[in-house]
Amino acid sequence: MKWEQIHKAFFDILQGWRRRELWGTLGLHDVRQRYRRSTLGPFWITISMGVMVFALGLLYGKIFGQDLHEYLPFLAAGFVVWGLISAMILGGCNAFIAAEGMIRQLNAPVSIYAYREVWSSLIAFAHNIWIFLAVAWWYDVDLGWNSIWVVPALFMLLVNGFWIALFFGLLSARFRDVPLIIASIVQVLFFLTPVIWRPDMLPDRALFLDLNPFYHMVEILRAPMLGHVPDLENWVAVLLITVFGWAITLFFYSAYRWRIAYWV
Amino acid sequence: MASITLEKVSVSFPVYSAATRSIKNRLIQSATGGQIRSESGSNKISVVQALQDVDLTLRSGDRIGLVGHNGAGKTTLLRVLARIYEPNEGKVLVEGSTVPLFDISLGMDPESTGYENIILRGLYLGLSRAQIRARLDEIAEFTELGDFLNLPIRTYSAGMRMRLAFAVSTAVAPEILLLDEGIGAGDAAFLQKASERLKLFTEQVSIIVLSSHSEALISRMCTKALLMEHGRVIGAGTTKDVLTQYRRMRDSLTNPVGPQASPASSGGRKKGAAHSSATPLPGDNAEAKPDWAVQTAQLVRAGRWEDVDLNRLLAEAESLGHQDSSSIEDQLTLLLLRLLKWQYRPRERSERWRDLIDEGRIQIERAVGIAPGLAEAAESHLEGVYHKARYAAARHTGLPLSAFPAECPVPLSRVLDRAWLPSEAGS
Repeated sequence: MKWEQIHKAFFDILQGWRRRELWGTLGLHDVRQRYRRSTLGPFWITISMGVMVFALGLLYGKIFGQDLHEYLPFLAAGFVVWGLISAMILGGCNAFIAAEGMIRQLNAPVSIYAYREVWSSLIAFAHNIWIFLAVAWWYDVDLGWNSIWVVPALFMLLVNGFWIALFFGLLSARFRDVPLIIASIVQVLFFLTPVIWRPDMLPDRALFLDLNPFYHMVEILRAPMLGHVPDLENWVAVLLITVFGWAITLFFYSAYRWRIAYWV
Repeated sequence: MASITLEKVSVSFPVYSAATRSIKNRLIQSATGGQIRSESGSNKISVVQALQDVDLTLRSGDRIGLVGHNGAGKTTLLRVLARIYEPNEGKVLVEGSTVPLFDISLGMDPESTGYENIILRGLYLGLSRAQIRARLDEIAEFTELGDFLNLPIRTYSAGMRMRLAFAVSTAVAPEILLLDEGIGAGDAAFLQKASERLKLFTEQVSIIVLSSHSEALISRMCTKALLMEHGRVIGAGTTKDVLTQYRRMRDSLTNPVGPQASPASSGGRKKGAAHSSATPLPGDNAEAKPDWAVQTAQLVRAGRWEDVDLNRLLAEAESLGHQDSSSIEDQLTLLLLRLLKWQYRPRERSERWRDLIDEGRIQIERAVGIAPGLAEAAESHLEGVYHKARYAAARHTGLPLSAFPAECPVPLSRVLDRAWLPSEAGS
């Protein structure tokens, strides 16, 4: 690979950021589009999340014999964070495929479609977070200075969501099975990741918990949301994922970015 | 100063079938080595050479028309100039803000209001929100849509959407403008106003590259032209010269019926070759037309569709549509063809296309209004006419003939119903 290609890939990402008014509007439209002409609009996102959290919270609270005072805020936070991560992955896979018509007619850097997916996932997250805030308020969760860690954690997740959208978007544009494979993997990982169950419910911390990248990603944001100090181990893992993911993405994006217009 | 330089640009792209796009096939392929590839042709990834060794230099003030048959590489070249396609080989240097206007209604959101869509379209064109706001009043005024601009544009007619798209697209002139088939613009009253604005707009643009099948449009707008075939530039010069060369080339391909035609129709000829095989005198073109018509008629009767120059047949049919003497059959053929393409090429659907369909319907309605007997004639000829349209559609879309229904799937009243459009094929 030539330096020129890497340079062009960086330039594409930079130029994409400069077109933020465009992808900002497109992302907003994407969210609005789904709930168009319904009375409550995008607040259906909030409502469906709320119903889910309460139904599953009561059920699994009983099954696991948990104190709802502890369990419900944990579940709400986990769901909201998981919603963000899975939306970025699933949306990312379709970033380029869904924008097929635009890619072939618009002379804009293709990275804008990745930004757009991350942005619309963030908008949905902003709707979901109210459920957690309501639950946290009701159960009087102690939000201290630790909660400030929410900001860097959320930023890290978005940075990761962006490479995921670029990488899997690229791969999906070429191999159309990829979005389907990823969708089923994400579904399985939902149950393998401690979202509805707590890590301390495992008799001894199983290896697959530490090897599950989603556990670390969920945990860096969920811990400060619940007022806990984030674990160093989780942060190191997420930083490693970020560096590794971006390295691979930059390699593939530099080599194949220009092919996207031909593939879609 | 805007400029465009292309050096030895080649573009080829792989055409993936559903089979080669799946990972399973890819894995099986690599496991069994290259043998499957050589044994069955269907597993090969076919590569289309869309552009080959194109050199081009454009300076400020240039207005270039691209002419050539369907699939000659005109659209690919436009996409290369827009930096949408990066070429496999060669260098592209484009200086100046570039706006490709391939489909001016691209990305309009039907559920958003007129005003929101003005902003959205403006963002697509590379303007900032502030820039669009500064021009919002002027754009709104030009559309003449008034209070409609506060309604979602799904409530608009095709013509109203066109006005909106046109007004935004021509609000700010870029340095380089790339056009595919010109810019259409709504009804006749609006057209007058639009053409003035279009003139003002295009005067501010440094370089215009226009690809079109309409020779009238090319000669009106362009000072220079390029003739393309099989991804190569085979002729360049003033618009008049190139259009003459293009006409000769078409005639030399269609006039000789039989074996003489084959050397001329093989691709990749150089400029000189095109001249030597061309009909010697331009004056011959006038006679060439009836000859061609007779030969085409013979070919059609003999069922030798592969030898018929359908492009020209359609061009002739279209030109007939503009004459008073046009027969209702031709109009109906054209309308059916447009409807078939609408159905089988959903990707290429556009407002312009819809307008063309409606226009065809109106013309037929008008003809029937003058001579009511025509309605019966049209009804009884529907199947024959449909067959013509079906062949043409197969050729245009590149789909096999069997992909289209053997008989016209809807009654004539449906075809002429302005509220009806065929849904996507297979659904």
